[in-house]
Amino acid sequence: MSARAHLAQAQADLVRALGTGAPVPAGFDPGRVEAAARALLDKRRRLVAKTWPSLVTGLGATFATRFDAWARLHPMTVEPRPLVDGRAFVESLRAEGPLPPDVARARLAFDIRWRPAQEGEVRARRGPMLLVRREGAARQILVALRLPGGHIRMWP
Amino acid sequence: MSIPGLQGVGIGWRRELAHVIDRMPDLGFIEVLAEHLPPAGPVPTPLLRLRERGVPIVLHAVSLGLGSAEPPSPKRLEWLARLAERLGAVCISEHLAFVRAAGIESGHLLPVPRSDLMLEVLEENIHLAQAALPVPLALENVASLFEWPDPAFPEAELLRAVLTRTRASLLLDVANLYSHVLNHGTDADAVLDIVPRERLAYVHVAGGVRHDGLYHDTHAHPVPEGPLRLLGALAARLGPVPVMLERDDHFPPEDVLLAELASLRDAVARGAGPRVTATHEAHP
Repeated sequence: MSARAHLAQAQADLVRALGTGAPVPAGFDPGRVEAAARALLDKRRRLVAKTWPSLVTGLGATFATRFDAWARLHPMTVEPRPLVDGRAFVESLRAEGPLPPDVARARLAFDIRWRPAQEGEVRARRGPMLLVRREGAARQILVALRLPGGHIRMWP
Repeated sequence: MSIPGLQGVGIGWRRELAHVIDRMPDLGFIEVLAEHLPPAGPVPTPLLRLRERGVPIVLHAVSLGLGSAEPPSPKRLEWLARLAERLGAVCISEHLAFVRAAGIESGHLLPVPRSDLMLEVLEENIHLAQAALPVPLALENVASLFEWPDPAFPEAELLRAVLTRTRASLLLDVANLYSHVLNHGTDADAVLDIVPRERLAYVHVAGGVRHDGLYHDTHAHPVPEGPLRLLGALAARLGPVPVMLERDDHFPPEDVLLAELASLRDAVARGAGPRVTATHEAHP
């Protein structure tokens, strides 16, 4: 193996330990590497909580554990992207069962403002739009209307 | 090289701070995060306004990974070059770090091993980047909670060697340096001693917090005394240096933010001593 390939291997082992919970490579202080992984997860969770406050109110005490479990399976990209992270996390919650009403409303409010763009990014929507959904255990009807000029109305 | 136009006290531009920054008096320069800008289309209006005010703009990136075993991607370099042109950036800054390996993004600015092999790889990667970028490149020392095993030389030597082997400038982050003093016992004076004024682009200062015996460079807490002392010690060696505050989260009220910027200005003035007064008299 060339010297560069050795370096690539060592860097890959470290990245796997940080991002996916693989064993910490020999020679590193495992406690320190784990502290670094935890610090990043905390930052990522804090930004999502700030961008999606309904997740914190809707999921209560289980928010942190459920988010952390999801985040470990979905390593982040270059920078924390709380809009994208939050939206993907909500989708994973929805696959597990009915969303709490606040979270369902937040998901609708997000989708009337943002559209998926390339490379996992989101872009602000333009122009009028109507979204109607049945959500939650009660299959409640939720409506969001985006008016020309970007004003948004939601019912209920 | 030092970057023409960069002086005084600046701040990392963030959307949440746009209004406060808009009315900031004596703003030396701003630093804009490349990854937060739309990759194409018009420059955000608040940035255009600052540019019209004549505030120099530095483009700061975190995703090149110049410390990777692999060379930097031509696509990313092209993206950064176009952004710098659209912004009219006076320089581009990146980190002495790697961010991905084997196709996995780490989300961290990961420290590089301090070895001769790493220096060779860094030198090549930095040359490739400089060849593709339209403005000077400055490289920043990172903060990490851990170190690679068996370093061949100390951090000061890593920075000195990068400056010797390349034409890149240094973006010295004194908060990152402070965190390494506390977390790894790094010799801060040795680092400050290797910085020639003509190779210093500017200085970063940020806040952090101690947690479980480790100092975390959070950019979300007040700036402690430690980084300001290092800033003063640098100014005592080099005279007045351009410096800026990085604040990414838990944004404080305007008066607190302005007071923090004033503390940066004071630390430089105290460190540089009478030299500052002389400069002010010469250019009122």
